[in-house]
Amino acid sequence: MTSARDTMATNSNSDGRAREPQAGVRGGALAARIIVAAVLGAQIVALLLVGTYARRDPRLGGLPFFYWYTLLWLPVGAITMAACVWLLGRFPAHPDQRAAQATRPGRPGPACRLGEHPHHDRAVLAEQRGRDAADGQDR
Amino acid sequence: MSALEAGSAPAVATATKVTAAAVAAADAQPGATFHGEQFAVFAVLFAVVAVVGFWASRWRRGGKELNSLDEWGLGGRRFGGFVAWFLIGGDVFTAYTFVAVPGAMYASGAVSGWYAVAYTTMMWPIFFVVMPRLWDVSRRHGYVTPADLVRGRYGSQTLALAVAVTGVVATMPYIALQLVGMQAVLEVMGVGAGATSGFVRDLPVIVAFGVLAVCTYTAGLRAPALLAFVKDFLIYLVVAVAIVVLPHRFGGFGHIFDAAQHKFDTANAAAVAAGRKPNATLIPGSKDLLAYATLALGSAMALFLYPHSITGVLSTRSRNVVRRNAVVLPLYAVLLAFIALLGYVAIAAGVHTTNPRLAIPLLFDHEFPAWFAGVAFAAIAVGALVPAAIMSIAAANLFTRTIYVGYLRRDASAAEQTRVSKVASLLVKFGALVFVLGLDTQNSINLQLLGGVWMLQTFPAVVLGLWRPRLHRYALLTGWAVGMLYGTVQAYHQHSLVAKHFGGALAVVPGLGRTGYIALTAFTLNLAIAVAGTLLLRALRVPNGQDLTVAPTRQSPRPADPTRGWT
Repeated sequence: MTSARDTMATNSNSDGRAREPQAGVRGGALAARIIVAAVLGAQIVALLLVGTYARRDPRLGGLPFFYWYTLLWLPVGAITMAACVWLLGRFPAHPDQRAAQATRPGRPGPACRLGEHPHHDRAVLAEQRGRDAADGQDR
Repeated sequence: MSALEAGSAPAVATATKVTAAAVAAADAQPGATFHGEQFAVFAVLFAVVAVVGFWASRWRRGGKELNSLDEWGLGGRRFGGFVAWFLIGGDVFTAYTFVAVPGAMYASGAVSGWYAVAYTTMMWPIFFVVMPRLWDVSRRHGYVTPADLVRGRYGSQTLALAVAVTGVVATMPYIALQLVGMQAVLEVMGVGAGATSGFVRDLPVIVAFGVLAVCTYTAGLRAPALLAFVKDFLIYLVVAVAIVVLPHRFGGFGHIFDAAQHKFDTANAAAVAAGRKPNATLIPGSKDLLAYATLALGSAMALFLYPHSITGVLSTRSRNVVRRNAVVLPLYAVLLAFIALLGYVAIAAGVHTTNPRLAIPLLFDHEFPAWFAGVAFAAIAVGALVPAAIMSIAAANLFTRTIYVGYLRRDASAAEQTRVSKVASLLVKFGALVFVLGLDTQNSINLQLLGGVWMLQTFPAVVLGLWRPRLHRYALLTGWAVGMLYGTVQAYHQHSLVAKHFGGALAVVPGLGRTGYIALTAFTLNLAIAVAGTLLLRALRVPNGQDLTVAPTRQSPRPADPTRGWT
């Protein structure tokens, strides 16, 4: 994962968030997504291969291997997903997407009849923009 | 937590004997006397919850009236990570889960109980990939339910109706089962033990649900969001105490697992002697591997398709909240794992019951001082209310958006939609109440089992609809219909000791000769038909519906971008 990220970092701006959609950034975003898919997929496959861990020994604190191995995947999964959040934040597919979300007015389609969604509302939009900025900071 | 209960249903069914008998058994064991101190603590905590629920309509209102579905049904789509964590965790891990999973562990071990921990572990990576994308599309186009999404993506009213009906029908028995969880607790406290009429006996459940109905009617999704804090504080407290104190009291986990092994060996030997198949497993053997894996995968895929999971996700304020939540939500799975292990603790503690649902309440009753048992029971009862409220809101939104607006009143205003949804949520809850109190509990369990099978059949339309290539609407509809039919028929033909039909979630997978989760077999069939049908219909140039989600915009001239869904 590290080597791929280094390769990508060379293709993007210093902060990893290019302002212009460049070919290199697109490649980085795609690679990041492939890595995420592989890592998350591996987690599911590991648990699906029940035959590899349906054993009694070695025990840990009295728990048979089968039980504590399943439990082990919970923290492993959480840490992996945290890394994925970080990776996807560093290589957004569309660096302009946040700005786009904040400025684009809602497109009233047949399925969008309510007309009262917060994102149609300028005041809420401004608020949202502030929150998005906060989102960026607290990461 | 859907198919999980579906999976544990056979175990529940097996040991329940006939439900009437189970009630009698419960009376004979714990309910003979009324536990005043427990009930007093329980009642005080419940009153606090009611006050919080009524106050919820003022919470985070932001000056807006609750007269749009976004406000009433999605809490204004403004929940941040903290609230969302409690809300999503609160509706995915329900009271019935907290009663049924350890109950299944108590009765038959890993394949019907522990797989729940495996599937809640597997679920988050899937959640991580699917839900931010779902949030994104729904926010951009103002979708409130998964059926809205399907209608927009495939331009098909019929497919949306299929998804909506599946969601409503699968959710209803789920709400009913929350009441079953609450009843288990009240039974152990001996509430209504001396009552001669059924009405007096069920009065606490009726009162609790009445309070819930009024809170939800006025405050919408804000009520369960706020109650989820109370519920989770109580549940984490109880489980933390239980998992620290109890295993130590019974000689540590080594001894507890030995006791479970001993009980299962005895039960299996008795089953074989009686000419039945042994069904208790501490560690899955080679014949159970496929069953265990398919139950885990199928349940993980079905769980977040339930309307109430999607409602929780759509109420958040940003896609990043959804994604970051996937990182911290596994903490609930740790909680579930501890609760599941309490099923084995109950065995070591010598709890004897023919109704596995009572195993955990009885364990608390025996091992905790009365006041703390009261806290534990309040935790379970409040744990029933939160998901029930979210489920009823989700089902009501599905009805309003797809059936009412789609077929009855096409020009319904936002305020009218909200009014209809509010009334529908009341009717859904009332229906669940009548169902539980009026009919045999086994019916709820049967329907719940089917609910997991049905829900998974909407996976191709909803989840695959988020990415390209777009499948054909007629192919999806055919696949859905075949999957539903196959799953229902297969489930109908399963019989167990106590149930002539719907006796279990497992059936022999054609071609493999081993048993697997019916839902996943039906899903495979469904998907194969959807893909093959799409290819065929494209070759025949049958027009697909208009896709309303890909209108080009200034910022992203290429909406078909395959990487877009990942951001």
